[in-house]
Amino acid sequence: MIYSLFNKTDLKYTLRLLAKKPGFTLLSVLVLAGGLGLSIFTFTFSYTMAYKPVDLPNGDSIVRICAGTRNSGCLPIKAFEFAAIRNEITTLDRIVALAGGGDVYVEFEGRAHRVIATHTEWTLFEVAQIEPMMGRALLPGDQEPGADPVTVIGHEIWQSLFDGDESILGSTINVRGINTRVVGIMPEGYKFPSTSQLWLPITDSLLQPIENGLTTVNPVATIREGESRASASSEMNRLMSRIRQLYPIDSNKEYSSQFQRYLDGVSSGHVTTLPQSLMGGLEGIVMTGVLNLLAGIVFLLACINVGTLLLARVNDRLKDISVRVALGAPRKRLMIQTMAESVAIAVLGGLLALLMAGGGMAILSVFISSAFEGGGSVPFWYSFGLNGSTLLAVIIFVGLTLLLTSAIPCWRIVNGDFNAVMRDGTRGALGLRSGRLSRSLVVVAIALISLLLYVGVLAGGSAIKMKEILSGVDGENLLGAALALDPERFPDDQRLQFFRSLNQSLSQDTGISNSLVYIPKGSVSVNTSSGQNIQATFTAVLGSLETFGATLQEGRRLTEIDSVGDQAVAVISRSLADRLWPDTSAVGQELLITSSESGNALSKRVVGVLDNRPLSGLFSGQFSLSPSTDAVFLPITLSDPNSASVLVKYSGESERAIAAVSRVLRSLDPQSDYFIRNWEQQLTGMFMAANYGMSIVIGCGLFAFLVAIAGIYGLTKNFVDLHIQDIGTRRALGATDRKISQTFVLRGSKQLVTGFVIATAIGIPLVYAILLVTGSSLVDGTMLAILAASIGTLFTVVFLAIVFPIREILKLEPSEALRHQ
Amino acid sequence: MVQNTLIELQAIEKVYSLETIETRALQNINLQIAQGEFVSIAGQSGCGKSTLLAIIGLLDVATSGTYLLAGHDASSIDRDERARLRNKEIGFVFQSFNLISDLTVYENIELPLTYRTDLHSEEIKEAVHESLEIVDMVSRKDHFPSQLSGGQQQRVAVARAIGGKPSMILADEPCGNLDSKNAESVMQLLERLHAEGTTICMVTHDPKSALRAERYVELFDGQIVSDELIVDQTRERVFQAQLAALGGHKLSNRL
Repeated sequence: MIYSLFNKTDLKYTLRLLAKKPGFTLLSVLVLAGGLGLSIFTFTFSYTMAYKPVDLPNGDSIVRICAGTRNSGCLPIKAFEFAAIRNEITTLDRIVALAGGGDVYVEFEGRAHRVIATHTEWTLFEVAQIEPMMGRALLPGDQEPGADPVTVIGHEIWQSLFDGDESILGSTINVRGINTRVVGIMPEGYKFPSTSQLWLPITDSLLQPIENGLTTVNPVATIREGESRASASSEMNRLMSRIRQLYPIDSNKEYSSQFQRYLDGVSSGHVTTLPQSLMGGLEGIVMTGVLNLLAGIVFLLACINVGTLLLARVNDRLKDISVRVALGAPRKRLMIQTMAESVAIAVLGGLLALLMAGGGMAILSVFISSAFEGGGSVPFWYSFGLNGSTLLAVIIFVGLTLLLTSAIPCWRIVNGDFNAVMRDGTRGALGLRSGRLSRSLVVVAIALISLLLYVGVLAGGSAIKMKEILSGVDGENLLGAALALDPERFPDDQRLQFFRSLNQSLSQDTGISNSLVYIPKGSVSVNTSSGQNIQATFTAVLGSLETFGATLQEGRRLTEIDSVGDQAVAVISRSLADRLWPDTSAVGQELLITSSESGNALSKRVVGVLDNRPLSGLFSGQFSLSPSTDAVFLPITLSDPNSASVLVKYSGESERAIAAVSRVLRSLDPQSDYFIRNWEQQLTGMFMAANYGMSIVIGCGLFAFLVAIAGIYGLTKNFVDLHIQDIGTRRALGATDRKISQTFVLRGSKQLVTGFVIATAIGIPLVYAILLVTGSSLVDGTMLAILAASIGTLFTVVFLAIVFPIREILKLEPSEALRHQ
Repeated sequence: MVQNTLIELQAIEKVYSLETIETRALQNINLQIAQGEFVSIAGQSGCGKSTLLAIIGLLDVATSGTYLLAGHDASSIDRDERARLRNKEIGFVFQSFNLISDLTVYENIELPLTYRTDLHSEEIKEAVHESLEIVDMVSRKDHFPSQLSGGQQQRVAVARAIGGKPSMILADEPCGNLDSKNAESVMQLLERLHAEGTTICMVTHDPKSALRAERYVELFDGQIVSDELIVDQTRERVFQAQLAALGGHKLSNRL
């Protein structure tokens, strides 16, 4: 049957057609490969990041236990709450409490090295089902109180720190100032649960935590046989709701907005896969969605472009097809013949796309490895490359391409009145329908490319903005640590004393120049005398504001005395001072502020004005793409919460400073674990990532834009070409060249405006929704300028795509145009 | 020279060059057409009839020779002036109708009038309605060409040609795609226009249509082989020639 529908002659005919117009074949293959390659690349990228099963023996059943909802992302659970519910969980087994993903410092041969460590129960290695390549995993006895400190190290640090020396096994290394024996070395690539390079037994404070303590855990587990992620999530949600009733949140405290969100979220719970746990909730879902939307648009554009090129081919071959119909060719056979050309182009395009996507993945892997210091902090499932899933994606994409690119030409075959073509060469109804289809395709292509512009400019703008903000953050010689003090051991007065002692102890170290303890508290409304309401960032601080690079321009700094007895004083930024008191000095003025979190109105006296360098929200995990320079700094008081952060400015070697800060923290609070963050290193990585993100978004966006522009040019040119006879007729009727150009430009403008209006109707709400979810106010002058320039380019291309072909047609004598078939 | 000469062709040649092959479509054409004449140009397929009509209609330019249109040298006028002349002085009727498929009947007829700057919209509307009435297509004014029969399309084409009240109508095989009934209807339209004083120049290979004109020009291999007023003898001669051609064809079929 197939043989009769497609035989050797048909195959030869198809190949001859492809070879006859090599330019067309090459253009079709390239346009398709470009769109397809980009789609495959983006799909593989987001699949690897969010959906790829982790490469472990029972990877499918391993889940993270999270507080919060899916939209809030996977939040850590308070250790005491988890301890209260873990024995009641029935849908999961092999539950492991762990606290991981933080930096510890390993001192070796007089140098401190940053290593990502996980404090875990010994059962973690049972969940992973991966044996150490040398030595042993952690055992139950290792986490008993009073047990000898031991560690299992990863292959990466075994190679990078210890040069692969086997004698390290059994010997003692210094982990955060504690002599710790290496008992095992894990095989290459093992970083479970995510990016770990070193594993330590869980501490008692995590396993048997104090009630109402602030320490948190990130448990993992396997789903019990017969249960599902959905049933486990449902159970977790129920248990977390119950625990919230038992331990209600203290609403009298003024928590930071970030912490408040966390507290709001932890009344619920869910389980999720390891990759999903790092996707960041709704924001991650939106960003992945945006990325896939972009890829989808590019793919659709490529299909429309190729489909239109094939449609133009069918138009060219109308007479030929008409003869075949006259000779009795069944329409099925004609459709198969037309599809044969699509199959050849789709297969060639698919293969080229595969090569392009593979090349892109290879570059991505190299870049990510270098951006994240040799891959140390990259989750272990982030292996970007072509695999079975990618090949499956290619097959699906090629299949879809065939469907889309063949659908249009086949529509032409099925609906064409070939008798009319044979009879007199007039296009009649065919021309009308074809013209409508061609115009509709141009409108769809313009709508898609405009949508691409909206979302692409937003995505590219975010990456550019992030890079700008990161380059504005002074992370040089800066260390940081999050401080979550146990309320049992550190009640209100003790807490303030802890912060004060911390600053004092740090200042005694000759390598440390400044330190600052701070609590980000969201934003405040500042009321001006003229009734204006200004939103400013609000931070409680103790220590030197110069730590993050700010300089005092007027008045005095906040001192320790200001923190005692609530002195009602404030330091504000220059921009806020200028807006409030443009003609006079801000120092000595009364400031009326209203906290957006507590709603309390406070009157404060301004004692100093700082320059406009904002305290980056990055340092407190509240990175914003639209940071404000309007800032209010108040002294930390007794009523402030337990969670704070510290920034330390040092001179000399970072390793030495890190060791010094670790020692100070351990001396003040020996029972807690503090992770020190090297902001300089962190910012470099983030800057590289942002840079790469920017390059990838702009590169892909530009490529997509070019593909789309080429497509629109082709579509519009095809539309004009279809009207050569019409142009001849119009000229015969006395239309001047100018009049003809005007007519077609006007038509093109109608399509352009229609497409643009459709895209705007979809794009603006979409962009607004994205901005709402991501909480950024990105639309600034630069973004609008980029958008305007892109739209201008689009309009120009459509204009040129009409004017150039028309100019060519107008070179013909009217009689030639009239004779055109 | 003929009195009130509208068209005068002197030693017109037209050569098409395709790569190394040169095709001489017209050779040494000398022709004068007076205002108000109804001339048919006949000849076998490929003899150059349509090329001659395209040159007369300013749709194409001659390779050499002189073309005087109402006494003015048409070969020296620029593109825009040629367009203006086509619009105002010439009405075209094509074999394949050449209606614009995206425009309705009304819009097709209105189209050449919109290119003129001396007409107000009311005048255009009036002219379109008048033309529609002449060809009896008022009821179909909102239809698209694809919704009409061949005869109806050609009547619309005639309406479009006469809408601007041109000095001459150039018809290229106006009945070539029509059945006898529709062909008759179109021929009657042309005769009526001629009776009202319009100059008509019609290319046709159909002797029956050609003999309804008042002057008969015959082309062979790009040259004028006959140019005469149609009288009974002409009809007889053309009929005999046609008969001979038909007989020859039948004979060749038998062989």
